[in-house]
Order: sequence, then structure tokens, then C-alpha cells
Amino acid sequence: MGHWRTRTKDWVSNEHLDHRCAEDAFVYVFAALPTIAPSEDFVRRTVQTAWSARARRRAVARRVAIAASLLTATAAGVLAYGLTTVASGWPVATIATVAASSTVSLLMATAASIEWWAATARASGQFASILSMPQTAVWLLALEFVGGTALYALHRLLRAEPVVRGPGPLCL
Amino acid sequence: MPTSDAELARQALAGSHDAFSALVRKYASAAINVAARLVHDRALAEELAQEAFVKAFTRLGTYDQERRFSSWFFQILHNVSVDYLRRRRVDSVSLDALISAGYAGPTDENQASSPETEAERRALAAALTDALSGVRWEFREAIILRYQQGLSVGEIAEILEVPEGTVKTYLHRARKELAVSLSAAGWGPSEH
Repeated sequence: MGHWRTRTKDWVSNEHLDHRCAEDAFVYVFAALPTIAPSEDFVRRTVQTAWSARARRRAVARRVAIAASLLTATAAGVLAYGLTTVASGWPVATIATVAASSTVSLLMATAASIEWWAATARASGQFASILSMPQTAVWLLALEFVGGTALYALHRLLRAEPVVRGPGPLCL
Repeated sequence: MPTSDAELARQALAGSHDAFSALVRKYASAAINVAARLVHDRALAEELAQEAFVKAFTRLGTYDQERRFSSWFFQILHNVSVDYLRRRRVDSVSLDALISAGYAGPTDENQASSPETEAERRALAAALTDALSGVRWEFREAIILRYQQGLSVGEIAEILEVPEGTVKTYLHRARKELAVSLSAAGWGPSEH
């Protein structure tokens, strides 16, 4: 009888009798189980997958931020225009003009922060930058251009309204 | 001085490929072995281990550096494995099938072990694997974490999110069931 069988019999006997040494005997027997070695490229594949997943999440977060900024800017512009038609008077119109002007600045600040996020994505690794840069950069610029143009047109429209020509220090 | 897991995690969060690679390299074997004992499939175990590493990487911002990284990671692996077990029925796979898929045998400290001893060890390993597959997966996971990965009862309790007393119960009952199974398979004491 080999020592593996002997050790196993000892453990089984001790386990049945609830002897304290059963656990020590079991540790030895359990060591007979083979361990699995990872496949050769497991580490490389796993790291690559993890980095790709993070790059995708950041790209989605940037797009959501852009969409939210544009939606906010558009809503502010529409609200401002609606206020000037519904309630006349220079205070309301001035507030609407300031809101529209501020929204342009907000959009520009958002664009700057988006550029910072894009730079961060580039720094996170070559693989991530391949996924996140070319197409997304063009898309970002196009959206910024459309949004900025729309808000500038709205701002010009508000300036053209006679009711706006009140105490004009806040007009651009 | 070797870099601690917490420092590697901090560097990986900051964007270091090498730091994350070091963590994966360190825990790859343990993760695959724990998953393999739960799902009885080597290729699937690698998939689950990879999924756990990816989730750990995306959640590195939530890792509390006061906590042991191994405990935090094994908890993620536990959740990934449990999700899989609850979605699918898992069939037993014999040790022979796992060996043909590329098992590496254990490191034998006794380099002079004879072929007979090695054959006996493989037979015992096969019997243990069959016996383990018949044990509840909660007990099985506790046994693997305690006796193969060397984690303490407290760490296992944290990973499985159960009290320490429950872990002790799992271990005790698992060993009893394994003893009964191995005895029935002819590895117990002979009756005179």
C-alpha cells in the first residue's frame, strides 16, 4: 500500500471519529489534486481585454456628456426664445440673452473638457487611442460646430428683437 | 522589495499596463483553479477568470487599499462564478478530460517519487475530483479556497459574504461528505 492510500485511510478514519488531526491529514490528501496552469497567452489576452473595455466605457461617457451638453444648450435656447415671445420686457429678454450667451461659453468649456478627456484616453494606452480617436474626434468636432452655430444664430435673433434694446450692457 | 498588491492596483488604476499584468500573472492560476473546481471545465474556467479580472480592472476605483487585494478579487470571482452556475446547469467532467485539456500536475516536493506513487496520486486525484463534484458548490468553493488557496476562515467568510461560523460548517460538512465518498470508492479503512 502506497503512502497516498495510507494517508487517505488515516484521514478518513480520523474524519469519521471527529479527531482534531483530521484537518491536518486532509490537507495532505488534498495536495494530490493537480493544479491548472493558465494557458500561455492568458495574461496578455486578459490585459488587452481589460484595456479595451475601459476605452469603450470612456468613449461612451464622452458621447453621453456631449449629448447632455447639446440637449441642455438647445433647451436653454428654446426656453429663452419662448420667454421673449411669451413675456415681453427688457429684464426677461436680457436674462434670455445672457442665458443664451452663457450657454455658448458653457458649450465651449464642455468642449475643452472633452478634449481633456480625449487626451486622457490617448495617454491610457496605444490600443485605446486606436479605438477612441479618429472617428470620434471628427464626430465631436461636427457636433460642436452644429451646436455652436445654432446657438449663435439664436443669439443674433434675440439681438434683432426691438424689446431687447433696453439697457444693453449685457448684450454682446 | 516586491511591490504590494495595493500599490500595483494603484498603478494599474493610474494606467500602468505592467502593474495590471503583474496582478493578473500573480492570481491567474488561483483564479482558474477555483473556477475550474466550480464549473468542471478548463476553458470555461479561463473565461470566467478573465471576466473576473476585467471586472476587477473596471472597478479598481472602488478597491479599498486597506483590504487585501486577494480577498477583494476572489469576491469578484465568486460573484462571476455564482452568476454562471445559476444561469447554467453544470455537468461533471472527469479528471481525464481535464487532463487532456492541458492540466499541469502538482509540484511534487519529493522529486524521487516512483511511477507507482505517481499512479496512486493520480488515482486519488481522480477519486477526489469525482467526490468534489458531488458536493454542494458552496461547500466546494469553501474547500478550494481554504485547502488549495490557503485563505483563512475570515477571508473566506468575507468573500462568500457569510459568517465565519457558516464557513466552518461548510468546511466540516464538505470534509465529511468527501470522506464518505472516498470511503465508498475504496479509499477508506478496510473493515476487519
